[in-house]
Amino acid sequence: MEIRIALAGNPNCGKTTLFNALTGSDRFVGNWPGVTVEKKECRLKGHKDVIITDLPGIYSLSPYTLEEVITRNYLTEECPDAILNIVDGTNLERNLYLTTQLTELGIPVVVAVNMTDVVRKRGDEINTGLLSEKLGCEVVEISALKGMGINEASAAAIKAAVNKTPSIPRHRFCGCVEHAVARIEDAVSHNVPEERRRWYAVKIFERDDKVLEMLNIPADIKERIENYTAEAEKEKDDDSESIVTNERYIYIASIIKDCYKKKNKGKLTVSDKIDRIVTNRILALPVFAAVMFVVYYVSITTVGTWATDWANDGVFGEGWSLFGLYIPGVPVIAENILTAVNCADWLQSLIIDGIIGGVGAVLGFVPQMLVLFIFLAFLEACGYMARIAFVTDRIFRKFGLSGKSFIPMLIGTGCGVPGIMASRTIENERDRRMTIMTTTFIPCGAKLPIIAFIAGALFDNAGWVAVSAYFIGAAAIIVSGIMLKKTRMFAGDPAPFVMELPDYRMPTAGNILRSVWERGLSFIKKAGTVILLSTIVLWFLMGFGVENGSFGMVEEIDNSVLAKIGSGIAWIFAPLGWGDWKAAVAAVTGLIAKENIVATYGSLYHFAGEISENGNEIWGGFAAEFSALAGYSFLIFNLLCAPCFAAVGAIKREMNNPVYTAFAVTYQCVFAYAVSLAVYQFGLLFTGGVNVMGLIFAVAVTAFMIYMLVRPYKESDRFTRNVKVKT
Amino acid sequence: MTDFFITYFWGNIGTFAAALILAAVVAMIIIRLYKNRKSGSCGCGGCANSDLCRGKSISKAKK
Repeated sequence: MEIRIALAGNPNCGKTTLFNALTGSDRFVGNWPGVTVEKKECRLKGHKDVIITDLPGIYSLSPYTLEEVITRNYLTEECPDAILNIVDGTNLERNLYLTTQLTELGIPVVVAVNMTDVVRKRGDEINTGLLSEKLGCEVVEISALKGMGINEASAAAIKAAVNKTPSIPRHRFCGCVEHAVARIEDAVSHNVPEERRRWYAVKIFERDDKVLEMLNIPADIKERIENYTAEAEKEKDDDSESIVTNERYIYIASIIKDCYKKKNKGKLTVSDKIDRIVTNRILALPVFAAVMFVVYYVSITTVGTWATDWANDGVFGEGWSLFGLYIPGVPVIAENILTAVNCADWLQSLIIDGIIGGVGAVLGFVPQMLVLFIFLAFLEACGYMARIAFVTDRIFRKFGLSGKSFIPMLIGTGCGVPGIMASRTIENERDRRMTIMTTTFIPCGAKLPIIAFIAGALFDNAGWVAVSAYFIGAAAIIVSGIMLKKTRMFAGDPAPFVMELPDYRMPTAGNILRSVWERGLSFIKKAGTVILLSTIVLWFLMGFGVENGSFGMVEEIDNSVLAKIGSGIAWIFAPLGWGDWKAAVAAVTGLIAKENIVATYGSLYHFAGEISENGNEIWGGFAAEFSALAGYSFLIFNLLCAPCFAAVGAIKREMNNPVYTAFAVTYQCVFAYAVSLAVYQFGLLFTGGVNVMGLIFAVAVTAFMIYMLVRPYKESDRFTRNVKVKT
Repeated sequence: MTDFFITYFWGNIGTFAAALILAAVVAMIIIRLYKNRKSGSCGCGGCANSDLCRGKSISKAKK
């Protein structure tokens, strides 16, 4: 018979790390709440009949957030055989709040005190024997990251599940509350299972909406219960929920006093000292700007460029030299093989110019991306990015969002799709919708090749291009937030934001490499699937057309179907400085996958046979057709406009409303157009070649945006309420 | 159609083989993307965090 063990605990206490260690999985571990948003199940290593369920992190079993509801519903309805409650040993007081609630559920509980290695390193001591006695359940010490004690923890949980001995909560509330709870237990004794009667009684005492709704208590009993609760509230002069919370913390404080011995009580930890600078009111943002500058500079300009030059010119170019040995590039090898088998010219062109030219152009940027991912993984794992969510809360609050909106944007630096879906942690529906709309302004991994491509082709790999792209994305989020919050659709006060700042810790090389590998592999898989298919379609469209009155393969690319389609829409982008059909087509193919923009140019220039001596054929071709200003305008447009179809699909799913979805996509496109227009037209004032009409439009658009930014929000002076009248 | 086939493929085994391999690769990619889509992920195969991507949307969860 199967045994089911649930892992429950606060966010960031190490549940998923323990889950991975127990089951051999490689689930993603992030340093922010919302990474685990649905339960996950897997079998325990070495025990085919034991299923481990990883639940979302929660601070309590109250029904306020979706994670709490998911976890609570699972524990009360699906009733696992045992709960392995992971608590952060470095933060015992906050973690034990949930423990006091879990022990009331009537399910066997084993408490695993995690991060004991950090506790010991600090010189602190936890008396697990006494803790076990006071909590009424077994306590084991573990370090999920180091793999210490995890077998003992799983063995204890299995034993508790087999014995089926429910934990008996040792804590007792004050007299009047216990009296009320006891009477409530009697009143609902027929409605709830005996082992969970106390938990339900306490929840009813707290007036928990979801429990009251679920139990469907008759009106007369409900009235009696309300009287019991009111009596206790009158005696304690507080509301029932606060009374219970207070009582739990008094109990926890007594436990900590007896069981936890702090060595450096009152002294600042290393994390605290670092935070004095990193989260300083004045220094925080400059420090963040400096950190991101270094990250992007090293990734895109120095280390990344050396590696990408090798990839673009060597592996996907003419070839490269390894210890004096010449190794031909992939296009050369492919051409040799296809020529040797007498492959037809058209198929050679499809494979070499279309597929290898396009996919190779994208894969050439993998080294830069890997370097960037290493930096981002380090910043996430060490705990710095969590601080940024805290720092940005102050700024975001000024335009109606909270720091909680930063977390999806942080995830969006990898891929916009999980970034959009991470917005589900935001309870306020309007804030959530606004976050969904603006998350993709931050450059995702797929946009990095575009940034690197334009930086290399037009700006000599200058570091500021990549950094500016990142900050333009951030600025777009802020500007959009301010403008949208002043509309009726999104107006409202921001939600309170409470976030636990994890201690700084040196990430393990394994964790960083695993994160980099996952992201890098995803990127490569996408290149080998979606982008490969796109390049084949593109090749057909650019290879066939009407020439000399008949349809067939074309000699001149300007006669191709692709050129005709591109020419039909290119005029739309003329005011932005890039009214060329190739740029228009590239921007459109970017909707399939943003890397496709680079792949499209790779295919276009390979197909056109524009090969230069040094192999930088794409860069040279692009530089010949774009001025620096037009190229930057092209970059901004593609960074800010509607994301790829996958991300649009995620927006559609999360908005669950076609009007909001259409609004989101339209807004992103219009915003991108407006910003690119302004940048290009105002830029012409400095570079020369001013277009009067274009400048007038740019001034009008900019004036409108400034108006939207500075205008006060007028509260509605009418109150409308729909009332049903019975006749 | 037959002439096209003979001209471009049959007379040239190398072309035929290369085209066949390419068609097989394309078919495998399409099947993989379709399976990804069916399993609830975005379908592009590019998500680094598959857990978030395969989760239900908040609106569906509320229903």
